[in-house]
Amino acid sequence: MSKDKIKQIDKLIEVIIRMIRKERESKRVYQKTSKKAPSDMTRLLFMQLAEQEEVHEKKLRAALELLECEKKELTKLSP
Amino acid sequence: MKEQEIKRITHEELRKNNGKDGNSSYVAVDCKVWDLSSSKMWSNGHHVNTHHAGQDLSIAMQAAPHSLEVLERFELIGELVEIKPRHLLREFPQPSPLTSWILAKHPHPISVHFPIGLGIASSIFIFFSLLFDINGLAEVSFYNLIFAAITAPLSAGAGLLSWYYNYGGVWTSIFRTKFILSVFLILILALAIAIRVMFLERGVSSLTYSFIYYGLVLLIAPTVASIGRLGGKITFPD
Repeated sequence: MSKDKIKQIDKLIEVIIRMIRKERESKRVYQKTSKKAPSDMTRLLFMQLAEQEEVHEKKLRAALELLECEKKELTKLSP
Repeated sequence: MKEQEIKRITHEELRKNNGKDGNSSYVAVDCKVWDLSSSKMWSNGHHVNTHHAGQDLSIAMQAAPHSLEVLERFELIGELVEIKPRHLLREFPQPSPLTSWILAKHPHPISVHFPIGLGIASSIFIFFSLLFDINGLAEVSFYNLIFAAITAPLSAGAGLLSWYYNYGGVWTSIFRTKFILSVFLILILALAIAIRVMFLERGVSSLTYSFIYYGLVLLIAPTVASIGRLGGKITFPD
């Protein structure tokens, strides 16, 4: 039972680390684009989008940490 | 709450107030302890069947769909002592400027095609050389094998670099299997070359060595295909 749960958690962790990578890539793209923006308005928009990606990444890292803790607990219990 | 009125809450006190058996529902976030006993969302000391009162929820709060402000509707009991603040998340490893430059060139997706293509070609050529008894195909297979053996460790190294920096070095079953298969592949390649050079090329041509050599070379194709499939699962998930 706990082995199945560990597998499930592992899959979620894989999704999260892939999404963290995507958030980072998006942040980099928005930051780069903001530097090339022709007006202050578009520059600000891209900077805000980059900040939002950072918030998403932080949330994902927190979720990752919770899942890793849960996995560790289950691994201890697993025979 | 004024500075002098701030109560120090021990970890033991926090754990005791778990919302059960008439106890209050305390939760700690960033070292501050809140009493959520009056919240309907925290009846029986748990929230959305996931979080439990009496615990430090600093990390969980950062993953929550709501902000820290929701706690401010409730009573701030005091500050947590005897416990390290858990609001700092583990950072992913930061690459140096040179490593960032290398990673931006995507070395793993580029290099991985060489051992895959050459390895599978080596297996196919040895298969047809055995089937039609054509010695030339066995030679072609061997040259493919040598180049696969040269490129496989480079590709594996680039993969490790990508795993460490792009995926935070998080060890999951997919990465573990890919790592084991990669080591296995490098060993097969090295062993096959060693047998060919040390025994078959020198005329120590026993049937056992030939069988081992052909077996190892034929094993390369399914091994690299499995590694490639796992790589595909990481990049293009279901």
